[in-house]
Amino acid sequence: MPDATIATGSTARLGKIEGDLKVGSNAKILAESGNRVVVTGGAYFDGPVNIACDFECCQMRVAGKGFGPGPAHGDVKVTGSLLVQGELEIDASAEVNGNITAERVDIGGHLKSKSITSKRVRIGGHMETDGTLEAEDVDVGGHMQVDGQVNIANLRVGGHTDIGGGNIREAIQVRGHFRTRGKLSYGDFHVFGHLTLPAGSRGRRLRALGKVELEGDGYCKTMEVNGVARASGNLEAESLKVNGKLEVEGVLKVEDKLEVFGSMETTNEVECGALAVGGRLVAAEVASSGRADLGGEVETDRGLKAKEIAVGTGSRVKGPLIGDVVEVGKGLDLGGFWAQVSNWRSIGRMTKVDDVYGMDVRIDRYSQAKNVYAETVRMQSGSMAVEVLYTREADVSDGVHLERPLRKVEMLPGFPF
Amino acid sequence: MGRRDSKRSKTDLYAEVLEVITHYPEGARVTRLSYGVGVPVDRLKIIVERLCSYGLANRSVDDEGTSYGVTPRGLEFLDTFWKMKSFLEELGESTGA
Repeated sequence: MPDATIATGSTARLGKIEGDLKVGSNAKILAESGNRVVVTGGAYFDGPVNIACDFECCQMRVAGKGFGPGPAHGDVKVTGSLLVQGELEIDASAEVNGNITAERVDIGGHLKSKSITSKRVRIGGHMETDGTLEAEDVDVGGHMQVDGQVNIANLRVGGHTDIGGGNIREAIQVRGHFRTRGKLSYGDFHVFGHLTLPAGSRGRRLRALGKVELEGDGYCKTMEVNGVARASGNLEAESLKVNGKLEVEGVLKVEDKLEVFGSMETTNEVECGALAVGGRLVAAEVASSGRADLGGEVETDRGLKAKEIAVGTGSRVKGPLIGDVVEVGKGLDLGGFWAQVSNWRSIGRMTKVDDVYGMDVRIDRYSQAKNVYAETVRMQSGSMAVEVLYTREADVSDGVHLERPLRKVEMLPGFPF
Repeated sequence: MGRRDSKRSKTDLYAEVLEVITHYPEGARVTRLSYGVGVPVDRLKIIVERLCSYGLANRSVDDEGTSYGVTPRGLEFLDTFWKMKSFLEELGESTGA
């Protein structure tokens, strides 16, 4: 038995209710004095309700009979704030002019409110928040809009998401587009639609299928671009894989491995640990502190420098190559589906590179270099070069085509960068 | 707070119903779903039954009534739907079915 009951369709002025409150459909609740009604137990509503003040209770449940036109189907309107110590459960939609604080928020339809503080928020439809959102888990079936900052552990949204910035520490899955107006710290981000992140955003992992706009400088530990991504500033990552297309206006720094199976373009420098190209890479210059496996097309203005460089059969490199060990026309296995696609593209093609600078340079058959400057040079039958200068040893097979005679020199020309 | 600005295609609606169901791992009841998707209960029942017949959703009955869940095939459909939607938007195409 509830401790207080309000009949269907009636208006009640309440103060403090000791115990439970049971309310019929289409009731209106006003504050007896001040602007607050307090229920020390649970508040249970049979249907739609209009609460014209702040409302506080231990638990709140509003039943609905299913979606339909008009307010008669279970919608809740609160002109003040809602403070629920336990669970706030509403079958239909709710519009709260003030803030919502609850242990758990579970709304079947849409929710419109000011700030929300809760451990777990689940909204079946859309969510629209004027203020901030603080929660551990947020689960929204439709679109989500939060004007202020968010502080969330896990976020899952079925539609589009628009937030003011903040921190989403763990997993983020957004089916639609994601936009944040302020900078965002993120954990493991998986977005199917378009993604816009402002300058200064930092994250642990980013997998994006749609268009990604990184406005200004950005950092992401592990990044996978499967659609089209554009960074208008500098971009830093620990590892970066491009299966789609990436354009960087600033400098790209990848601490560990940069893999390009799609297309990557920048008018600036690229710095990376290891490099694997199965698609197309265009940059002013590329500096790799480790190994560079080039299985597609590489184009640089000033050159590509790495400790060891392997240019795969049928690949094309424009701009100088600078390495301790450079092998041109080698069979490469970059691993993975896209690398295989790149291999198919290069079948039957001649390997072509520009100038090569190195300590140990090897040009395999059906490979063509412009000028080769090296301490030790080995050229297989069927390879071609314009000029070959060396300082220690040259092993040039029969059937090698050189436009100028092979020359041993005291000193090689300097590296272009 | 209107549910949608433009008319949803049948495929959009199927995907939306499945998406809302995934947010109820304990099983989604039709009344709840109707509010999330913005479709009256009688019409929604037809849609979820059709999703069940396609093997994209499943039905379970307990003391409290009927609830619905998403099958692995349904999850596969959702992933494919959103991937395709993203590709088509990229190409400037409509996803209307």
